[in-house]
Amino acid sequence: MSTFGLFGIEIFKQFRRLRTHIGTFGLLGIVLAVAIGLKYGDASHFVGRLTRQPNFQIYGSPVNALFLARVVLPMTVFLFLPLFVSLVAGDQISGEAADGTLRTVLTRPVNRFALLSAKFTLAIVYVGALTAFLGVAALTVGWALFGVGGLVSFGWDGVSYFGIAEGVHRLTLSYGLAAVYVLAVASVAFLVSTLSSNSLVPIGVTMALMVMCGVLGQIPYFESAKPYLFTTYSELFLRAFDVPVDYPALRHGVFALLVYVVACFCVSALIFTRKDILS
Amino acid sequence: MTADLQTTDEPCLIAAGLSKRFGSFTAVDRLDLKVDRGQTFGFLGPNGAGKSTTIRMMLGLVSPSAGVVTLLGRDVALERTKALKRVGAMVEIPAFYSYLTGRQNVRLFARLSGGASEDDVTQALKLVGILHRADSKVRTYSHGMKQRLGIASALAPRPDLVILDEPTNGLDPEGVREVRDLIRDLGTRHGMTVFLSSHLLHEVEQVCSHVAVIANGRLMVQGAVSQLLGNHFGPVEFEVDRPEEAAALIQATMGLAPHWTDDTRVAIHMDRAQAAEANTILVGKGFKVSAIERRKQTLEDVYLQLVRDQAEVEAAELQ
Repeated sequence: MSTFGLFGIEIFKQFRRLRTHIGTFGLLGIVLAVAIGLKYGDASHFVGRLTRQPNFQIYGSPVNALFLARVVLPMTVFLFLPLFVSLVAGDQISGEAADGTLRTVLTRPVNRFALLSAKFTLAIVYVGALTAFLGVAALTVGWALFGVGGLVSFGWDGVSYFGIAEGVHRLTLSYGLAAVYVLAVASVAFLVSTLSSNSLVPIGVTMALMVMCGVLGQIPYFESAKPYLFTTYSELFLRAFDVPVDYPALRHGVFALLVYVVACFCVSALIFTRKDILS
Repeated sequence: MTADLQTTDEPCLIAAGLSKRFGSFTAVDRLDLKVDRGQTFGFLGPNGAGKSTTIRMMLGLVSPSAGVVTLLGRDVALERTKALKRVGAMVEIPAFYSYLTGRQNVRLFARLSGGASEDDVTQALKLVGILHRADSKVRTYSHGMKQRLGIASALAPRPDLVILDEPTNGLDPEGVREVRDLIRDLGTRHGMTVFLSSHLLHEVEQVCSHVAVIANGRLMVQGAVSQLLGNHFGPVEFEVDRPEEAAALIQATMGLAPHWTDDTRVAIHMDRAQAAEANTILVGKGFKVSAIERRKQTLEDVYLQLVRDQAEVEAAELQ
């Protein structure tokens, strides 16, 4: 059976699993919580905290659909999105090994590389879908509660204002960059899942690696290792709001993350196509 | 559907010099097996003998340390997907997607084998007797039902060769009988070649035409069940008035140790001529011999003897 056919089966299976939808509900919960906080709470104080500019005097409200989509991204990229995608990507091989279904699948005339490719494609699609869902949910909820307007973006070095069209463009770019980072995390979880017969291990190892790389990146002694740590690019999505956008820097970051993705897939394939299925 | 295979007399399954080592432990040691088309072949061995590892190597789940497996004329190591095309298999406790229904599972695994018609899926579910629960989630199935579903999903794509690992594991006595009848039918009525592993001797004896016995990863014996039973005589039982004394006499005069004695009988392993000689000796010494009977040998006797012999050989090797 082709990778494409196997992918169809994987999608069919994945969609029927509860853990697939945990991320969706989790992200929707976060979007709603932030939206409610902005709508019914002390908006100006909350906005000050969200933008890390507590002393900035704001006249009128920057809060609208685009603003909500802008502020929920940094709240989820560092922990929730990686956690939710690890839950699915890290379960791809290890979960089936734990359930024993992997051995049933592999007693059928299925090419191991094709199966792995189908599962990895599923992980990529899931990362894209979950990130897009976050954006669409934020825009929809924001539109319903606050309406649509230009995007006020607060960064470390100041405030920027984008018209609606430019705002949507910047947000799309930002979500795309976030998805690439999350995909790199998912790839690590996927790789670990080919090594384990327990679906909790890949999630744990991936989260531990994220923290460890984050810590290493902050120690001056390890400065030279920094370009090789995937966590170095965790804030890449914020640079979509730079004026002007530093495209060469973005390309460099995306390239580094994609190297991670490809490397993780290749190592996974090397392991999985040779592995003895004993579970 | 089996035209290309029926034209050849090639064995369905060949294992040649098959070995698997895990570190310093040898799970399977230079195993040779041959299963011909149409046979129902029993693969017997005690727990931990290497049956599952052998089956995993046959199906390409585990790569052999040495040796070759050929399924339906294809080398599993070189052409795994082609070799498995017409093979239906169930390895150990069958595992399914618990969040899907029984029917969805059978359909899904059949698709992986190249597809089965909806009719074949229904037929397979009916054959194993779980059609009435086919549209419930597998999560709600009992162990026995999963076992049946495992057989159904092996059969749905209508394979030429069926490999079943301990197919009656976890079934109640009625289920055991049903599955046994079903397996017998696979060969006689559906023309499938069946390879099944088991540690249950009477099961193999009732169902299989051929058998191989392994212990500690090594092949002990292989052949037709009838032939195997013929080659191994059971003990001869003498019904006498003083069994203990009779046993001592035979041991002293003929050098044959008793197999067992009870209040009325003594059983001794011996051939036909020896049985006649023993009778003469006993009668000559005034024993009252009221009956002489050769006990019918079962596969269990052969098997236990083989396993015991193997243990003795190994104990001797250790010393």
